[in-house]
Amino acid sequence: MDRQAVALSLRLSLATMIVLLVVTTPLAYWLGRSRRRWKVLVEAVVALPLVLPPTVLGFYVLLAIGPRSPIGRFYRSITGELLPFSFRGLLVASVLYSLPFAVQPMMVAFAQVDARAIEASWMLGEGRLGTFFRTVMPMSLTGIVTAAVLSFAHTLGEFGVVLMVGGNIPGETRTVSISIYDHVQALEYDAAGETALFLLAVSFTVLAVTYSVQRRVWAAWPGP
Amino acid sequence: MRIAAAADLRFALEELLDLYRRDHPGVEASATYGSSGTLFSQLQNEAPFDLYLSADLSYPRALREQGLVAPDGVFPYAVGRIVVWVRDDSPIDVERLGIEALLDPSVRKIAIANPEHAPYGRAAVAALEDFGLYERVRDRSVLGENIAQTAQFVQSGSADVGIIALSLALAPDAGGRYWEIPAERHPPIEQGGAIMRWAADPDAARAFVDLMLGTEGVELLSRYGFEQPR
Amino acid sequence: MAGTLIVEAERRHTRGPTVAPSFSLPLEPPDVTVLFGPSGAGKTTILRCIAGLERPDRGRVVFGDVEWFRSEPPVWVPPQRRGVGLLHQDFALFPHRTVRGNVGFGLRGMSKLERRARTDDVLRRFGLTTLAERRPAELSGGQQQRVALARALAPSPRLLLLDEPLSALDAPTRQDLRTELRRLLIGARIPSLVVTHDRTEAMALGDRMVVVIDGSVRQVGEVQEVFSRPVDRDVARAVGVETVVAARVVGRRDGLLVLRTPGPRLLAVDPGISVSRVLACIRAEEVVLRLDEPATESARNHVTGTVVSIEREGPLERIHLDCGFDLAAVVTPEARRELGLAPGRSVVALIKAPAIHCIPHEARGEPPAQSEGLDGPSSR
Repeated sequence: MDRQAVALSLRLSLATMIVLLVVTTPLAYWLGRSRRRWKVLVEAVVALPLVLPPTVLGFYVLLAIGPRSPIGRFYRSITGELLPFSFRGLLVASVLYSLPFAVQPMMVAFAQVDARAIEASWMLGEGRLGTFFRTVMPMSLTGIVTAAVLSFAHTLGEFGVVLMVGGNIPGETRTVSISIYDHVQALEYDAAGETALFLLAVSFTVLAVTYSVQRRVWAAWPGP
Repeated sequence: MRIAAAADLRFALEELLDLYRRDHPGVEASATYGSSGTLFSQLQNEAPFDLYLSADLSYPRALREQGLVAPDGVFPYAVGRIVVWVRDDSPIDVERLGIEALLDPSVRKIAIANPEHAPYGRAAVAALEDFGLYERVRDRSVLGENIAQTAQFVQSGSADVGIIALSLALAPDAGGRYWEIPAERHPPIEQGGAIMRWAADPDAARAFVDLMLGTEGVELLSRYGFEQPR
Repeated sequence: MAGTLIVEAERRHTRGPTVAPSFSLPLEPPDVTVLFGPSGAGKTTILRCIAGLERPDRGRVVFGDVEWFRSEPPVWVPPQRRGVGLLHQDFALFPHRTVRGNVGFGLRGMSKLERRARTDDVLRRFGLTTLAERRPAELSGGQQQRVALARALAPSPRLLLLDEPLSALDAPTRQDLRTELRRLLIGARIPSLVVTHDRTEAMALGDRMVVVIDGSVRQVGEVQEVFSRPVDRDVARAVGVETVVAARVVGRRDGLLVLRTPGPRLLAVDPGISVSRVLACIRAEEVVLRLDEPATESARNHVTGTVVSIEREGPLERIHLDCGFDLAAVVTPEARRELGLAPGRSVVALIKAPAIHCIPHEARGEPPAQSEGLDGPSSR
């Protein structure tokens, strides 16, 4: 079993999950509660990674962050390194790849928060930010947890995008799915099978634990 | 030292790397395999590989043209051969039938590498055209992303027969039976490599190339069916 | 805590009427003012403009010496800073917090110890101490309302707004809680503004009333005044003209109440109340007029009065009598002619005991009085 690849995949999934939660929460909130008409355009863009073939996504990401792109050149001028074929490049690609899986559950959860509870929070003196943290977020916890789990699990299984953007560099971008693919190509079925089984066990455990926690979310919520 | 290697080198290169590590214990050497064309695209985008071993010399030459290769970095290292290959338990007597094995009634799918970016795929198509069989087998062919995947298609049973690299058929655990396609049936598979301009340790890369082109290397490669470049 | 609430604003809805209230209301605690009107009249919009949850297109909103909104030059105080408490129709309690957590939510600017002490105090005053660690989902409708009220009042707001506070409860609970709610509102010593479209609720909860119809204010006054003397046809239709008399229960017997009014004593059916001050409501349709006193009658209340005015109302005619209090009756034009009714004429009005509908209405600043003992039967 390729431990290095497993560790890398777990690291990538965790990092993607954290980045997505932090970055997309405001977006999801706006999408869930705004009434602007052009909101649908943003929604469509966010949903694109759902329907785009991963290789297409990977192709565009490569174009966007490669050494000949403005972003790539800027990054190189600061760090002296390239974005593609690096962990950071994979992170960028993964964030885009799993974006809808984070945004959509949170968006739905935020939209369902009773407007009157938010108003009650305002009337009790809480500003918008405070209302978000003290009222909206606890009431949307299920959606947030779902977003976290889905983006983690989805990134764990990433293949096409990693293939395009990653370059299969051991320790840097050789994720578990690439590693399994590699082993199969080398006709090393045992190694492939071991790694795949381990990945399956990890994914299953993560999901099972998360769903059981979700049930007890409110009871587990700390006191007032 | 990171090597981007064509998929047909998979087993041969692992042995070469063992030799290299014996001689240079301080260097962390690893290889990533893929189709030569795909690796070429990545290297055009400055993928962080130090050494490129392609199944088609024209790729390293193109990289040199784009100014991506270290000075005097391009070198040929072998000439490859293709074979018609079946699994051990296949009813097809490939050694006797030769190319006719592809026309056996039990054959539903034929695996070849994708000619778009795999040199071994291009050679396979050229040979089939030379035999006048390409049109007849075309609709039954499945394309592997690289030559190793092509072999895996046959091995797993997804395809009944395939045209793969000799070096893969000669791998210790490959099993199966094969028939060598005569070299004059297709343009020669001239395999060449390049040391990249951004190689972190160009000396380590050059040391590997020397090993590969030296006595030990040549002997090893010939065990895998590679012929020497002219 | 007192102040005058001035609302002179205009708010246009994209697909509805323009709501343009204009009123100036001195709010003296513990006054309870009712914003009354039919559904869709714009009462809730006005309430939300006062709360700061909606911004009028034009005008100004002032409470006491603080201007909360003005369109020219622009002034806007966000709802967080108005010091206004709001009780929503469906209470909008925070489901993820306990009762204690809900009640203490709006307390800020005090140490943890102080906050805890104040929350305990409020919980006690609202009888919620035993429920402090429960979550809203575990509470009954009435309990939730108390928590919502406690939560709104804990930060000592300057003004309390209630949006249809009883409509989320089922009918029997509503009845029980009406009295209790008024008691709590008076006890809070903060001016309150209640929005409702229910007449009984308006009468039970309010001291003063603002009638809103089609987005504008039509009448302002004491509750029974507005109900018995609507200023125009629309208000009359909205309040459903009744006779509403402030009365005092001076006796109980056999399931009946003896009421002392500014006029004669009345006998009414006891709806099961325990307070001694009520508003006695009599529908005009249930008043029968005669020229003289009958010998015996099932109607227990015979009231003598003088005709003050007669108004045409569709196919019927509305007769206003003065019998010590204003009494309204409705008759056909034929009946009017037969009885020879005209202003100044003396008539006898017959009202059955079940037709007198008593609404408990505790007075402000007075403890609930004891019944004064039996005082003799009918007003005959």
